[in-house]
Amino acid sequence: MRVVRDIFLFLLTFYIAIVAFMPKTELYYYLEKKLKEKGVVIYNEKFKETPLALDISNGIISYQGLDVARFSLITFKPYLFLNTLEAKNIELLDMAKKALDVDIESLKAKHTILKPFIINLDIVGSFGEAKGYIELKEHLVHIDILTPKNIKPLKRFLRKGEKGWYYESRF
Amino acid sequence: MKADSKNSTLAILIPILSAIFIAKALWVGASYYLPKSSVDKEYKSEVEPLYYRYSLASKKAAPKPIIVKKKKIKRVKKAPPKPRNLEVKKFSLKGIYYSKSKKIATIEYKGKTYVLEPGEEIKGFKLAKVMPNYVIFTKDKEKYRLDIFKEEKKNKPPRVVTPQREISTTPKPVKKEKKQAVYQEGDTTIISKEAFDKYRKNIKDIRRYIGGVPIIKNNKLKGFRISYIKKGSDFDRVGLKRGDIIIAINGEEITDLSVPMRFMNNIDSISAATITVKRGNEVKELEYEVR
Repeated sequence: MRVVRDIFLFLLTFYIAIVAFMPKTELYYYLEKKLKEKGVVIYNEKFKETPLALDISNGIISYQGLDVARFSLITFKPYLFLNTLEAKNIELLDMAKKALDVDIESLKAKHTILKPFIINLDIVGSFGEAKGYIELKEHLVHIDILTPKNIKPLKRFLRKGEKGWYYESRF
Repeated sequence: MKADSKNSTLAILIPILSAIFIAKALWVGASYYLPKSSVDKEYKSEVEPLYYRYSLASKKAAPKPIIVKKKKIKRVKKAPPKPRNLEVKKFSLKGIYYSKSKKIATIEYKGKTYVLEPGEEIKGFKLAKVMPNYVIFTKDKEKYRLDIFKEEKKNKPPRVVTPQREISTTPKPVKKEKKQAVYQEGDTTIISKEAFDKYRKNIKDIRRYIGGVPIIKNNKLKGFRISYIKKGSDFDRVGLKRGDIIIAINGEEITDLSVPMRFMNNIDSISAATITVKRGNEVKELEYEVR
């Protein structure tokens, strides 16, 4: 019984310590390095690391040297079994804004160890509310517009299905 | 009792402390391989790329400035003939830098190279004007034009430009042709200022006439492929063809979107430009001038 208790204590403490001591900022730098290889650079951002989360604020996202979006806050919560990313106030810039006049109020991405190859998405923007997923194995993004508001600027990227408008693309 | 209590506390602390220690040690080890600083945006130089033309033709083949005899005008009293400034014949225009803020001409004279800006002199000839394809020198109220890339036209009759009027034996372009939005003049495509302004003000309209798709290889932008050109439109006459890949603007390679963006942002001040395209296995330079 004592051995079971010790193992339980060890595992519980180990999990908490792994999350708390995780070098979140350095892991984010690594992610940035990988994104740069794809032509995506996030810059101008400020970091605030806490034992349970990493806050990145006021960043600008550029693609192939062109600034495409600005965000006010992104919060990473890497709990290993459940990882979340929450972005607030994503505003498109310059040419991206001209090509696609939409704003994203909030974007939530969830990844659980139960479905390791799927990232679930919840988006609220000027176009309404949307839910979707990214299938990492299939390289597929699927987003359903649940309550369409102003989808005119998005329509050329959308398709109409039985459930309503949706976006689908492979990467 | 006390010893028992100490033992049980220690028994609880050992797995807790060892778990903390192992977790921390694991992350310290992993941190060693992780980057220590954030990726920053690489800023391209904001210096405006210079429009540059140069001639690699040998000295023998290099075009010589040529003087045309003025049209003889019958006068009661004949003015004494002006001394010919034949020294200018020895000038050879080797290159031109042309941008909004800077204009430079490279002149070769008796084997020496001179880099001149407007207003500067060489052998008494003042560099009056630098244009994308030619320069104008002045001396004794006479103007002398020096062209670049005119080897094929070197047998054409020479000309002198007077301050009052231009007398030339070269056939002037037909007026009707000049009114066209886009026309050819030698190697250069001339875009009329009116047409240029029209498209500049309605950049979105351009998409109706010409389309391009970015070419990305190994996640790096390599240029833009012309996907369509509307037949009969002005864009059909600018020398671009469907399938061409635009790889550079004014000599600046398109390696990211900031290059065409900077060009578009400065479009108000553009009077000349070079676009480098890849057509099949051939690389071509297309010269444009707004007049």
